[in-house]
Amino acid sequence: MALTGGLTRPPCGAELAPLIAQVAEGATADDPAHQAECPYCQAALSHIRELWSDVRALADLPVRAPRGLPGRVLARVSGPAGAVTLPDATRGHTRVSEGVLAGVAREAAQAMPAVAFASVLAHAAGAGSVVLRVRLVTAYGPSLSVLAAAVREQIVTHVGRMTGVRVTEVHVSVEDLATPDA
Amino acid sequence: MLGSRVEAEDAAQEALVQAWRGLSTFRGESAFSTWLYRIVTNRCLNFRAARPPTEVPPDVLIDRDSDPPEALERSERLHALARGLLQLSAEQRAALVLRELEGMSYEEIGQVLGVTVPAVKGRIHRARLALLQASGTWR
Repeated sequence: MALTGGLTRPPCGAELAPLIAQVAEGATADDPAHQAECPYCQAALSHIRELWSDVRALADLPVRAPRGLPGRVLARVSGPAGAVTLPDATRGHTRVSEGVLAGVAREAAQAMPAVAFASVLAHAAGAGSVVLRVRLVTAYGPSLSVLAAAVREQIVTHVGRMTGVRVTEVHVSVEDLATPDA
Repeated sequence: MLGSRVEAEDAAQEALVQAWRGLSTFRGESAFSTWLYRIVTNRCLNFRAARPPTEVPPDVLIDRDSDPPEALERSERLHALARGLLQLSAEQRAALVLRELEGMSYEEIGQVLGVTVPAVKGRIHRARLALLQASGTWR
């Protein structure tokens, strides 16, 4: 326990790194025959083992989650929703909340004749951009892939024009069909 | 990773919030825990890049059940080791902590840090060497 001085290369010229790997990883010795006979190597190995036992002891210390951490995290994620900060601010920043972006996208989608109902979730994606998840109830008839592409186009154009926020992704999920009689 | 309990709590909280918000970006390309480690580690590295380590002594938990004199000496040694860890570069420390304290494989560490396995090995070898060579200044 009374070690002083840092670990230095043994006078026999053996490299320290392989000796450390031997202790830390159980790697095999570079030159087992030399090592078995060499008092310097043996001394270095025992010095390393002692130092390394501290590393192991540090690793074995129990880590407890800080008190109240889950509560604080949940408060944050269910708290005020995120917002997108518009780029090219010259005199103060402009922020548009995720709720507003979702609302604009929803109106844009619902304005399309083939869309009976739309609901949108917006996630701020950084640098003035947003990712949207759109769930649709569509009219029976049109090709869904064509419709999805049209909805995507409509939303990107509309959100971009109204809010200045760049829509990087629109994930469309068709949830239901609205039958004419319903 | 950070050498400060307060900063570590902040980092853990921010990382969990970020993980929650970014849950949809998890693509199953790695284990979920690896993905989470990446978020936490990046947050620590970014934090350290923005604010260099302070001179405040690192916080180390002590096992209070041990014999007092023994516990004291052990605690001093571990504090000294933790100070030694703080002398490493943030990249070396991150790799060494993930390996020796979290027990991760080189492959997992490569995924967390976004570097190749040989690069991980190099970092860890250099970190161990630097840590043990600086050990004279531990006590």
